[in-house]
Amino acid sequence: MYEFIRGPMAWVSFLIFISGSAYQIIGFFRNTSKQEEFAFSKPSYVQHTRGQPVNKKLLSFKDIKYSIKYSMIGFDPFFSVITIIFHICILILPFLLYEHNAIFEILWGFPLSPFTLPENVSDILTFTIIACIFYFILRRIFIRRVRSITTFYDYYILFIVAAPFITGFLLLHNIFSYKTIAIFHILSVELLFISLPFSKLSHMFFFILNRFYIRNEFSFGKGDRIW
Amino acid sequence: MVKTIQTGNNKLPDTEKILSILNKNKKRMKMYLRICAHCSLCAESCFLYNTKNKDPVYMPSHKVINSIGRLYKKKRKIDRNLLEEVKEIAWKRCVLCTRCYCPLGVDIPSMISLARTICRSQNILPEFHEQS
Repeated sequence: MYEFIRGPMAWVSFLIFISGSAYQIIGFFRNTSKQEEFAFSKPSYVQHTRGQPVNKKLLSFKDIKYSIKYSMIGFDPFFSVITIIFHICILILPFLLYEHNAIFEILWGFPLSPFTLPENVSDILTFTIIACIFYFILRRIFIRRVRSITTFYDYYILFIVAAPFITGFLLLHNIFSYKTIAIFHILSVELLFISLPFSKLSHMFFFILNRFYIRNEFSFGKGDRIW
Repeated sequence: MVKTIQTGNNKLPDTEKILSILNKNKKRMKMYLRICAHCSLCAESCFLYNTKNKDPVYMPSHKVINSIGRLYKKKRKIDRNLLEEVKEIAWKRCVLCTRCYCPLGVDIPSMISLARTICRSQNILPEFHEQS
């Protein structure tokens, strides 16, 4: 069981993750390669400021202040900071964890990253992630506007993101039976990898890609995907 | 002229026409619906949400999920009541000012405009002389 989860199943989940991501990204380019006929066209007075030659006046302190005030950070500073911290932690922790690097060095002969985090720092990062997820759950329960669009699926997504970190923490500190928790840890990561390209978590790559395609002044490009 | 089948007082919507419009935009709209993380960060970018006592029904993501999201879910089972509800959302809760902002890059105005297109194709339009 343990060998199967560690060996073939890990490869299968990696393959599903990579091919699924490729499928989604290729699908994105295919869907947006030709300009579709829109029922909605942007009014002539709405101008794209991004994607045009940068006007130096735009970058004055006043304008930066203005654009921050009317962006997500201005609207909801607390939640913005929490999500930024959460996403940074979630991206760096698996790569910089000492134990992961050690396993990689034994298996493949080279570590994942040139430097690793000390144990207490990785513990702090894990706690930060779990606390952030706990805050997301509380937010889904207690804030009216979030509750109005919350479904069971949202809790499931939070669960599959939280599971690898909770089991990883238990594993590091040898709480409960080591082998059982190790199986759960590997399984939860594999579940995360498999569901990543096909669920809401695909915002991992669409977060960046969509910005070239959306049609409003917040897009990176002109909104027509012209490259 | 819009093709509608008359059955008593209830006009059944032309499902084939709705489906052809839905299928034409399917991949893009499904992608948008899939990546919406239900984070509700788009709420404050809507001026209607801010002026209507922060009622969640005016939140851009709520409007999108309950209009175009429901149309994609129901597909062949779309009935006139649903289209009436979508009409209510697409015209009375959104003015298509295109100021809404999604941190994940979902193009909300294009979704609302597609909902309007579908309603328009079934001759379901708001009557502006009505008092709201």
